[in-house]
Amino acid sequence: MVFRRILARLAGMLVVVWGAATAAFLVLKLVPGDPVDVMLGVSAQASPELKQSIRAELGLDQPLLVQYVSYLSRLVRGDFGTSYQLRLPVTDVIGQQLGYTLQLAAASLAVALVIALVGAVVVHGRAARGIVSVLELLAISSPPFWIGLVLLSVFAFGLGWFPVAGADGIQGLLLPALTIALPVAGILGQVLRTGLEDAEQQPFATTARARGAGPARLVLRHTLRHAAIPALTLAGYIVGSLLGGAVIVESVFARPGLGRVALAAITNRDLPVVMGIIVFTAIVFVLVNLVVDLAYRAIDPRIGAPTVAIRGAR
Amino acid sequence: MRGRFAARAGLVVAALFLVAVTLMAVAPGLFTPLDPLATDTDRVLQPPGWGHPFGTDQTGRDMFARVVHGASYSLGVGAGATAAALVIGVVAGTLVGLAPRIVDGVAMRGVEILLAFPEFLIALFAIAVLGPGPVNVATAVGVAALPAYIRVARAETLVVRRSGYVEAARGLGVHPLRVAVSHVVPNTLRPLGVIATIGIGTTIVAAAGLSFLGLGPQDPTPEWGLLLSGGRNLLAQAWWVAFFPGVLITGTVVSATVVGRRLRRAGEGRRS
Repeated sequence: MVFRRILARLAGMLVVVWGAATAAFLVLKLVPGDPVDVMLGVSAQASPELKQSIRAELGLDQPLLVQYVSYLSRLVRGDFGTSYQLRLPVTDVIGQQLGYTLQLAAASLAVALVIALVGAVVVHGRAARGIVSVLELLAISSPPFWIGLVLLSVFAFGLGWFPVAGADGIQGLLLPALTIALPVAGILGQVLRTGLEDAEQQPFATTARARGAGPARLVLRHTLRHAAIPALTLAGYIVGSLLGGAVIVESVFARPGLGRVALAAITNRDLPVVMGIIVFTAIVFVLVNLVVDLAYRAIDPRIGAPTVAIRGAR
Repeated sequence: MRGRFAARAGLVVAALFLVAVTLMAVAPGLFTPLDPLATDTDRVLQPPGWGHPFGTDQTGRDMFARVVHGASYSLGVGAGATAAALVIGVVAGTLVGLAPRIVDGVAMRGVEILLAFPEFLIALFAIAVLGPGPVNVATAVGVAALPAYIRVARAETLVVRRSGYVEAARGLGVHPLRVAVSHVVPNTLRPLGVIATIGIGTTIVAAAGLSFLGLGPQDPTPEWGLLLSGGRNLLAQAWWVAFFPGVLITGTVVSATVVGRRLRRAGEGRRS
């Protein structure tokens, strides 16, 4: 039973990744422009014979279906193709830069969680909560590239506390992480606060209070668990913000990373890298969704096992 | 009581801000006589002051004029892409809502997946596929906005479709297409107007973000995102070049959100 459920789950994950890979393939095949021209660069003067031989080497002269099948079979073997521009395997291009972006994303998520929790849990009283909700609105509405520029201008150029560019150590990580974290914290804080306020009205909160739980114990043991469920629903959105934010922030702070790779690939029409990043993003989202589902079960014991018993076994 | 006063004051400020920015887009001449493209090598990187309230950039162009003239591009893309997404979303959402259950299920599954991502990321993927360029930026942010409209139009269609007056029209033998056009669609429009108001803000940020990355219009076009990226390299000497365009973007988005939320509350009040 459990085994079958895991199998169905894995099949679903594969379908999503396959769908993303197929969509990327189809759409990029429809794009006008000859990949060989992109490879050689705009200025290059190549004879038609040379272009034809390159095309044959890449299999671009084959029928679309043949190309698709060989593309999929290479994907399955972990071969994402070769970058037109860098002449490196796409997996290497992504692998080299992945660490920087993972570091940035993890730091951003940590900062966002801290800010959101402080805003939602620690702040009490109507007036203070009103101010926090205005700050959240500002954080959500400010474009991340502008937040980054303002932070740079004040803390790096103005006060000289942080380096202006690069990815060295904690010091180089803090401002970029804060840039991505602020809008995420705004959204997360809103959802957490609403969830906490809802939970405080529930009978179980009254019961806990009547049994002598103080405000801290009430939040930590009871209402925060309740508010975490709607916040978890945002996981996909947050990971998307971290990735989209990385593209912008790595450009603002001149950091290396996947975002820079993606931007260069988009600007230069380096299609294998673009496809590789799309498929890679799909894999990330599938894994995040899996983790979120497991986390749901851990946080809310009502989800999972009992449903079978209640509905009656098939 | 005091909270309500603050909320009302905020609403008025937001509405005035939107009116001002719209005027900038329609008639920039009202705000500044200066040419946003005119360079002046004698007045390079001037800090904000009387002659130049937002300062000047590295070629002596007046930043206030550039920001004011930039409104037409940024707002144009925001409003245009939102309007296009709204129209396509209503048509597609209504059709999906009236379609057989299998079509509905498959289409909504796709829409749900897209809705789980931030608009900026979808716009980025759309640009990755379409390639860079000012028109493609508008298309990309429009595509990114589309799923939300489809979902709401479809949900409203399902509600309206089961309502008494649609049943009555069908009973009277009115053609289904006519029922859809004259009864279903008009009733889905009000909630969509609310999302569209907030959506213009999101769309402007997404478009400015793509321009900031150099994927949209190119210098010397006075576009807000592009102005910011020009200011990135001048931060050490001239903070104002990157500061003021950002104030305008943020102000527009905050105002659109505040007005949109107010409209939503008004809509909810009328319903209950």
